[in-house]
Amino acid sequence: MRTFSSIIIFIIALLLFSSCEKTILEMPSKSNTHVFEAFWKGIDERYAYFELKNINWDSLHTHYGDIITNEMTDEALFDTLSVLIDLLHDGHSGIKSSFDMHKNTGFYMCGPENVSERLIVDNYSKGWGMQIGNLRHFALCNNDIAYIYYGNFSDLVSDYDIDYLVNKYKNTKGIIFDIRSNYGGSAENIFRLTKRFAQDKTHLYNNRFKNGPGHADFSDFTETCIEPAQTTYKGKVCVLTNRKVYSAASIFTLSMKQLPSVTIVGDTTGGGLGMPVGFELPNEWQVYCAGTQIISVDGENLELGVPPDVQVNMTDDDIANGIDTIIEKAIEIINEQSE
Amino acid sequence: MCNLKTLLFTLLIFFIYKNGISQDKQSDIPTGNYIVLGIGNSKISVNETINTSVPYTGWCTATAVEGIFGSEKHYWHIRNAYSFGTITPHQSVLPNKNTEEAYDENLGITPYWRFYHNQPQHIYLYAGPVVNAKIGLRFKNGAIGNSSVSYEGALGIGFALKAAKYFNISKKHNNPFKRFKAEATLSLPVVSKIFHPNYLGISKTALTENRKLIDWSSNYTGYFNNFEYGVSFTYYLKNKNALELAYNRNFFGTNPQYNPVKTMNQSVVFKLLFNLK
Repeated sequence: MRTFSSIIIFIIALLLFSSCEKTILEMPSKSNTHVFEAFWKGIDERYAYFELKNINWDSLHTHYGDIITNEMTDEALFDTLSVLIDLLHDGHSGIKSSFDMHKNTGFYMCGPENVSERLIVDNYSKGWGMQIGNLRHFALCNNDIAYIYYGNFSDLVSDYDIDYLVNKYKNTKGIIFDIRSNYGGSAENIFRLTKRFAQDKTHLYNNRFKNGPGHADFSDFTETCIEPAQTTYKGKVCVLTNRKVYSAASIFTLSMKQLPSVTIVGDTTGGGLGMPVGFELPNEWQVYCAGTQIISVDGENLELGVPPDVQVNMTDDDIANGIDTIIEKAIEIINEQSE
Repeated sequence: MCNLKTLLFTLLIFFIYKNGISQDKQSDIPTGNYIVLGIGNSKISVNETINTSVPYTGWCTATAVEGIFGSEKHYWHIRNAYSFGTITPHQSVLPNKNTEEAYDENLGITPYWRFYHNQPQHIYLYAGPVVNAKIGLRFKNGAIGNSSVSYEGALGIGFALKAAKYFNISKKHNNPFKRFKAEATLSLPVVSKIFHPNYLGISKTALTENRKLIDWSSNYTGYFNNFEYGVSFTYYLKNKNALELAYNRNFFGTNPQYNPVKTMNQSVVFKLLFNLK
């Protein structure tokens, strides 16, 4: 009995005096200066483009560290950290509190709009057109050319949807795949779409991740390749882009650029090839910034934008006459290449 | 994946049951083969740095599926504890708290051997090796991009100890068959393969066609990382089925080069023990 009692007492002692939970639930300081330090350090150790963008993050710490006081209001602190976010000039950076959310949207303003949904509806689809899943589509030029619009990579494209379109338009000369003003979303859709236009195994790009706190701490580059899908489109393809093509949509543009049957038409994309990664501050605000790098097969870092093969901007005269200059150029390219 | 795991777990229980050691007919304590189903509450607490800066904690749902096969002298205990729920920052006073969906899975397989018993007092001490697999998985809700998943996992071997006292509360009828059991358990995997997220918390395959949620290549060998103990109180019914109330506490810590994690899962689970005859 004495043995058993000893064991029970030992277990109870463990339960009562164990300090495990105390060490787990240890709270960091939530003072403004600690929050600023956590913010600065979090970005310092994660952000992947200090060198490319020539940002001296240390000097910003010196400057803004002097401004931060523990007496500042939450709003003032948030605004100050938002300024630092803006200085990254990166659409994949932002900060969120319980009362505000700030995103860096610099890539919006780098070029003309270069798309008008109303113009397409009025003069090309002459209405809504057809839609399967999240892909809108219609035929142009006496059914010789198909037009597909994909507006958001966050919206899933299923194998069924894209196979349906590839089959429906298999006898056309070409497809215009319009992703203008597509801000990105899930990388999964990149591969599902791209492999429908590839005829061979294709090397799309190389990527690497931050793997340590130093600005130059990166993993080795990993090659990203795709195999063609069972059902593929054999005709010509023009991908239409503008500056609001960002993130996964930019990666898609870069991927499609590697395919011989594809021509990128329009404006340079907004870039944003680095994947955003996040962290939390001691006051529970959430911050994110780009933590990975993608370079093209040729070794170019296209974080600031993937250039088109054929640069075209919409002209005011064309817009006034109900003409989408970029669609017209794509039609011209497909017709030329199909001759 | 879940179905495969359930199937394998069921097959494992069936295999051990079929190969189990026959019941000790002479014993005046309840022994034999049991399938155990339990449900209760668990408190999951996590301290990590990938997606959070403050510790997170919260009450979750706890479930248990167990198998007990064998005799008074030697038996197998297969235990699968699974908790899931939403956790929030510790001591948060914000109106819109950040949240994480937390999942905690803990599987242990232990063959116990009796190494001490006091027949008059009905005290039994057991020991045996333990094979343990554990994974904690969390999905952060909010604006933090692609690193929203964090996890820690372990596959380890170690030892387990168990002390059991059988007794009757009422002495009126002086029934030799004992109806109650109080039990204390300690499980300590000694060597484990520890799986943890990489530096950024994004799988290396995130930008490839065959994307995986968990990067299994990010691992190391650790020691004494997963400590678990518990107490339980069991009442055996006349038909040899039983009811049990169990408290369990699991502490798990990883120590990779970056992003160490400490987690704790405390659970109170009410269990039904079905005697397989």
